[in-house]
Amino acid sequence: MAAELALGARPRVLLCATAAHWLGTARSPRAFAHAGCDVHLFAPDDPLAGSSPHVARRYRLAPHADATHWALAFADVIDMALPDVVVPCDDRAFRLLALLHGEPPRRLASARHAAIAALIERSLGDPGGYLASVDKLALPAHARAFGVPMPVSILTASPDDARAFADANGWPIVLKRSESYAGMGVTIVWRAADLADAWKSAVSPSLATRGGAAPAQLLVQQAIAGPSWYAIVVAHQGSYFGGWAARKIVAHPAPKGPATVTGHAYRADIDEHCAALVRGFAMSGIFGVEFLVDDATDRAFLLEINRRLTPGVHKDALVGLDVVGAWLAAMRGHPPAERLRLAPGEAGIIVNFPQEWLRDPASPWLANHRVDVPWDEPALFAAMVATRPRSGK
Amino acid sequence: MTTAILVVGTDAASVAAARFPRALTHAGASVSLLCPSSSHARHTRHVARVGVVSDESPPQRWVEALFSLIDVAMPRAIAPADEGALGLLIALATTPPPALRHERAAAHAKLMAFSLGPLDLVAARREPADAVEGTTYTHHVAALDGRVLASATAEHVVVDASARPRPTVLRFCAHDGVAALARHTVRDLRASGCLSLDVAVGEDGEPRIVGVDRHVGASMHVPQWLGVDLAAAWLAALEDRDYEGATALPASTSRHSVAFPQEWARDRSSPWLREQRVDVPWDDPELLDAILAEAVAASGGR
Repeated sequence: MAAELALGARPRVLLCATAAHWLGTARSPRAFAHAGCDVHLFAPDDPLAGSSPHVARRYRLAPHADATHWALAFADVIDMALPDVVVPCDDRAFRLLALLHGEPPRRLASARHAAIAALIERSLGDPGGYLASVDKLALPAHARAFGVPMPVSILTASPDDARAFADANGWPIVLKRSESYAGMGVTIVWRAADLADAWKSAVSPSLATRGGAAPAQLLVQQAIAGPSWYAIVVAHQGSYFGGWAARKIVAHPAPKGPATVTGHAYRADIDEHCAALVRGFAMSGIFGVEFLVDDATDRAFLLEINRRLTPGVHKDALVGLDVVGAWLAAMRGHPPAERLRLAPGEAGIIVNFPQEWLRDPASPWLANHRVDVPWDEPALFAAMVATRPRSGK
Repeated sequence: MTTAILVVGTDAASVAAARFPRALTHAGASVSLLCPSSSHARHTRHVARVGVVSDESPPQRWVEALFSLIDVAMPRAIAPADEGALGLLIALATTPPPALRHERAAAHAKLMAFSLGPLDLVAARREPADAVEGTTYTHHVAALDGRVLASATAEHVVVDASARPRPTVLRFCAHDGVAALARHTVRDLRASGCLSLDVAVGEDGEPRIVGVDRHVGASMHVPQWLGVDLAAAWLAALEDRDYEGATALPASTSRHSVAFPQEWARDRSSPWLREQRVDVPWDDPELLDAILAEAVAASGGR
């Protein structure tokens, strides 16, 4: 049983974001506030997140802050906000928290760091799994140990090995760097003739999205033909409390881009795999896990773990589950009062706003299905509409 | 040659003035719009030209703007989009101001009679029946010379009673009794144009008319979504063509449509917004901007 936390009646949650215009950051304050949290936000200036009326206090992250500056600024924010728990809103925020836990800046006093490290651990779980769970190169070995299937893969520094792998397992193949964001750092290679150029591009330092060096190795993975499924997971100290999953129906840009229309339904295999991953990495928090479901076998294969808020956390009301409420209950050591799984056979479609609208304002999905609009946040609704490209009438 | 239609709305809050031009434009018309300067409607991208009259202007300014737009657009028909516009257009045709040249007044009266039907019957609209307990419906009609060209019925599911009662959530359906009553009424009025009838059906199952709006209604563009295109049916008749689309909803129809921004203005937390299809003008972003800007200002920037 997970250890409980002494949370007050109105727990203080610090949302940490390093990127602006991130929809998950903008939409989640309402979800946390409605669940009874006092929401603080540490983020760059952002017209989207800045529009939420549900943020009690904002702390501005300077643009272009490096890891050291971020860590010192974060420590100051902790002193001011005194949060019960910290929630990363994007991949980089999670990595910076993980880095700060393990490698504090020299200018940060050890007592201060110890308090921050404890906060990070009670928010994210066992530090031993922080980087292993999000490193694309390390994940397959861990998943195998936890009994979670992933597409067949090898780790190699040689395009010749990649060619041999593809010849043995079939084209196309996928090349992945250890760190990737929103499809960057992932390359699909459809045929042998394209491999050399794709390899060169994949190992290029310019592709290092956060200024990293050229990778020594790549993960070469069998491509699975089938839809992506996104699971939202509620966990505390290695105990899995549930969540829900949705398949990608429409993507923009197709096919690798983020989902603009999703269909949620219960899948027992995804539920089981999420439980195994939570247990294996002893994770805490609310985060996302992405799977591919093989068209041929209908089996779900793990793709990656996103240990940050996903843009689906606020969709509780549309799906009929209370993810944030369950997470608070889990931290308090109470069993979740509400159901935390869809029933077999239960299904629905959600049109993501503004993503589907930006893809096609005349989309039939907008006209015929429920659209995930922040109806009770008019300023955020207006800010989202303002994100469209302005090309005149 | 494209048929020109002039839509006139004098009420800044007229939803029909904002939303019906898109339906007409999609049907193939060239649409001009006359509306107040504070109206959302002026921002719609689905019009060829817009005439704007400042909110504080006297009636004379409306008359000048109307005729200058008619001179430029040369409309085949005029579609009033609210009660105020209907009143202005009828008054100009039946009791023209002395300053208006006789030929001009006569031409306007002829255009209005072509657009709406006999003007004495427009002015002498049926007295509403006494309040009836039961279910109320709006029956949306496109008509020409007393003949229903296409029509669609919508049950009132949620009504905003805070100001002038108006439905904010509709359920489109087929109702033979309502449709038959509407057919008779349109015939009796020898009505033309786009109009709507509010009908109550009491416990006895008998439909009774509780109001006739001889102007474009707030949800008249919605049946297009369900395949009954009132704007296209009207335009085809104006162009003396056959209308190829559906003229009524199939008997099995039962589709909810949440009126935007009406239901949103009534209750930001309305479950209807989250659970049903909301009629947002997604492909009219400038109009959406204008609606949202007003809502944000009204909520103190939040």
